Amino acid sequence: MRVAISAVGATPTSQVDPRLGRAHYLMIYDTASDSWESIDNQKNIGAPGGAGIAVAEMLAQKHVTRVLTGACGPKALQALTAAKIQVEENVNGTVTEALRRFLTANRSTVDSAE
Amino acid sequence: MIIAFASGKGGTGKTTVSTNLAWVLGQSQLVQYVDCDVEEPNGHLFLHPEIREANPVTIPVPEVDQESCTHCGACSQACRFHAIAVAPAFTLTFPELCHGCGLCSQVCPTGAIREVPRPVGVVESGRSGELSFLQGRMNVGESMSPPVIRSAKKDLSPAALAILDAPPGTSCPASTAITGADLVVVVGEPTRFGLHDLSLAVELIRGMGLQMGVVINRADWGDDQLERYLEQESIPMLGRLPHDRRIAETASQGVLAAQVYPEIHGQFIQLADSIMAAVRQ
Repeated sequence: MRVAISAVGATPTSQVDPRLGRAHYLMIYDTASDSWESIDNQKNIGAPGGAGIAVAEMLAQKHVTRVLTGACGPKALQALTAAKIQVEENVNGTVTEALRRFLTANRSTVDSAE
Repeated sequence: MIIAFASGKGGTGKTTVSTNLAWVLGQSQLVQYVDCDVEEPNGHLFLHPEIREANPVTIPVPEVDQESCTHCGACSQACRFHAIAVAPAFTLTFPELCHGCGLCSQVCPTGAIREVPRPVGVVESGRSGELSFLQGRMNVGESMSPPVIRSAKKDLSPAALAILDAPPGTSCPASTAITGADLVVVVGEPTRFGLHDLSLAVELIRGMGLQMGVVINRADWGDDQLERYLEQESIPMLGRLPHDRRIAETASQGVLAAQVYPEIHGQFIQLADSIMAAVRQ
C-alpha cells in the first residue's frame, strides 16, 4: 500500500505538516518497495481555495490509499473519501515517527495488502 | 446616471447617507435606490419598501454524467478554482467553488459535462413612497457576491437617477458594485482608522478611473487629518454631516432622520445640491 504524509520538508526526517491542502510537501511511502517519494506542494500554499481538493486528486492519481496529517478540511475529506482514501488526523512528530506508529497500529492490514 | 456610495472602513454611514439622500432627491426627480450590499442589505430597514417582484439569481455549475466521463482530467486541469476533481474512478464537483465560467463543459472531449443553474441569491424590486427600490440579497451560506450584485445592477431603471449603496471595503464586492458609476461618493469618518481605510478606497477608485468625492460623516468629531488628506490629494469634499445623536436614534427606530428633523433635512438638501453639482461636471 502507499501512504502519504503531509510534511514541512522534502525528507522523511521532516516534521509532519499540520495542514494537508497547504502542506509544503507530501511524502509518499510505498510499503511494497520500502521507498519514499516526495511531492513539492508549495504552489498550493497561496491558493485561495480548493488546495485540499487538488492534493486529494493528486494522491488518488498516485494510487495512495492512506493519508496521515494534522488536519484535513471538509472539501478535501469529501474528495479523499470519494477516492476511497482513508485519512488519519491529529498526526504529529516527524514523518518517519508517524509512519512507524501507523505501521505498528495497522500491521495486519498492511501485511494483507501486500 | 449612477451615484455610488462607498467607504473603505465599514460603519462610516453609507446607508444612512444614501437612504436619506435618496429620499431628499426623490422629492424633485425620479430616483431609484439600489442596495448592492448583498451580504447584508439594510436600506430596506429605513425605506420600508413594498416588494413587488423577486427574481432568483443563479450561476451555472457543472453536472457530470459519470457514464460518459472517461476520467481524462481535462476539466480539472482547465479549472482555475479546483471546483472539479478527477481521479481514476470518479469525477467530483464542488459547486460552491465554481465561478460559472463554463470552461470545463467546453474542454470535455466526451460532452459529459452540462451546466445547471445553482441559486445563489435573489433580486427584489418594488417601491418606497416616491422612490423606486431595488435590492440584491445573497443566500445565507454563500460567499461570492459579485454574481448577485451584477444581477441587481441589470435592473437599473434607465430613466431614474440611481443611488447605489455599495458594500464596504475595497475588494471584489465593492469594485463590482461601483463599476460604471458616474460619481463615487466615499463616506468617510475623521479618525485614524477611517482615514487609513478611506485612502484604500481612493486607491481603488482611482485605479478604476472613476470620478469621486468625499462626504465626511461625524465631521465635528475626531481630528482634522482626513480633511488635510483630502486637500493634499485634491479630492473634492462634497459635504460634512455632524455627529448627531438624533441620527443614531432615528436609525435605531428604522426611520429616516431627514423625514423627522427639519434641520437634518436641510443638511441633506445641501449635500444633495453639492453632489448633483459634482456629478454634472
